[in-house]
Amino acid sequence: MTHFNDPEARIAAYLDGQMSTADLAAFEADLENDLALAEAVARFGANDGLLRAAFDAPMQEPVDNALLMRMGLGDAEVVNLPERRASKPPIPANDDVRGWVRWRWPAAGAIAAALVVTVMTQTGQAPATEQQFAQAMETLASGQSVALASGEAITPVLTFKAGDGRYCREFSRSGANAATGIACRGGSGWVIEAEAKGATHLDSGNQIATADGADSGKLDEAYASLKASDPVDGDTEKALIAVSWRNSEK
Amino acid sequence: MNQGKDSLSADLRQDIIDLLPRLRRFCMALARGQDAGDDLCQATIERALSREDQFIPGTRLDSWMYRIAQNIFIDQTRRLKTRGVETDVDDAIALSGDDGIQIVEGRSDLARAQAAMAALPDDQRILLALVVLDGKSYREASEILEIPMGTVMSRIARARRAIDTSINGAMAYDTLQ
Repeated sequence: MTHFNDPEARIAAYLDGQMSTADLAAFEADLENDLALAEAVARFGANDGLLRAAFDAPMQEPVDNALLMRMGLGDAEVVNLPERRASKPPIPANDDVRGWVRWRWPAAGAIAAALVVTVMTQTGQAPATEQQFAQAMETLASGQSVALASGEAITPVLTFKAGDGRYCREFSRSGANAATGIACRGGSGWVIEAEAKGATHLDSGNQIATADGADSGKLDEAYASLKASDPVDGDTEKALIAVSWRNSEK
Repeated sequence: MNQGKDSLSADLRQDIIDLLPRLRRFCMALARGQDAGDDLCQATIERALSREDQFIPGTRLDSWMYRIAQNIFIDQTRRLKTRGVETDVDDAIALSGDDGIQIVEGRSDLARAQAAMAALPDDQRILLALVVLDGKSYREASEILEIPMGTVMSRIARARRAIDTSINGAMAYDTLQ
């Protein structure tokens, strides 16, 4: 077991996903019995969420020519980002192989509140469709929809974990180009892994009705090659959204 | 030969473009504001491109560039120290939003979080930017900052405590005593 010099160092290691399995088990046992500790974890976790929201603006701004000029990258080739991202994995923030910390995080609600603030403060802008798509993947619970600037609506359908550790979501796109696809969360955002014509939707019983378009096999292939887990439950999804899919690796 | 170097250069540029949102966020936290952050970010990119031969392909570009940004920032701070550093926290971020109480409250929350971050000593602020904002592991942070793991752990605990006091007031922390 790791020796922690003070309670904050221990809380920090917990919040940062840096605990060994043994330390984590001991910490969670303490959380059960120590209300002050649980409150401190909730508060520190909410502070983290607030910090991430407060410094989120650069992550939401489109990387366009004007920005590249300002950054001295003006004569670099501007490529189609979605296409490029699909062909090359993004640079992950973290190359540690880190187990998914089991969720029993009392701060999730507070962090979710902080993130809602981020979303609200950005509604005044007119972000590109791509950003709106990423935002929908990042913040919406499965079954919720958002209308994009392009006139389409995007609905995340379910969430699963890929064999490489990333979290992925199946989504449906309504409108003229109705489609169903899979996007995965890498270190620097959401990457569309596969997209097939024909919509998937949640029927009245909240059952997933699968796409029956001619190329729906594409999705099956993507599920297989991603080594998809079973879909995560609603609470897990909520917790993932609350922490910005933080432990999504690769 | 030449072509090989050009394509390396093009690859590096493209990788920097891919990294740009995260690099800007890191610089914004370091320099305590979006405009100052972008100046730092631009200087970092310029230095990286002029020293691309020092980048070892296969190693992490983000770590290399964060280290460059940190060095430039520390140099600038040293130079400015004699003249006094100006910080405009209100200028830190352009928060958009039309009206409504929730947005106003949200804005003050975010402004408070930015102010809390800006008030931290440089070494603590850099570490929080790496770990909390960018999701770096303690090991990676210790490599980037070239400090021992134990220092990372104690420094991050101190930083979180200061942030908590700054955001929630001194009383909140007392519950843990």
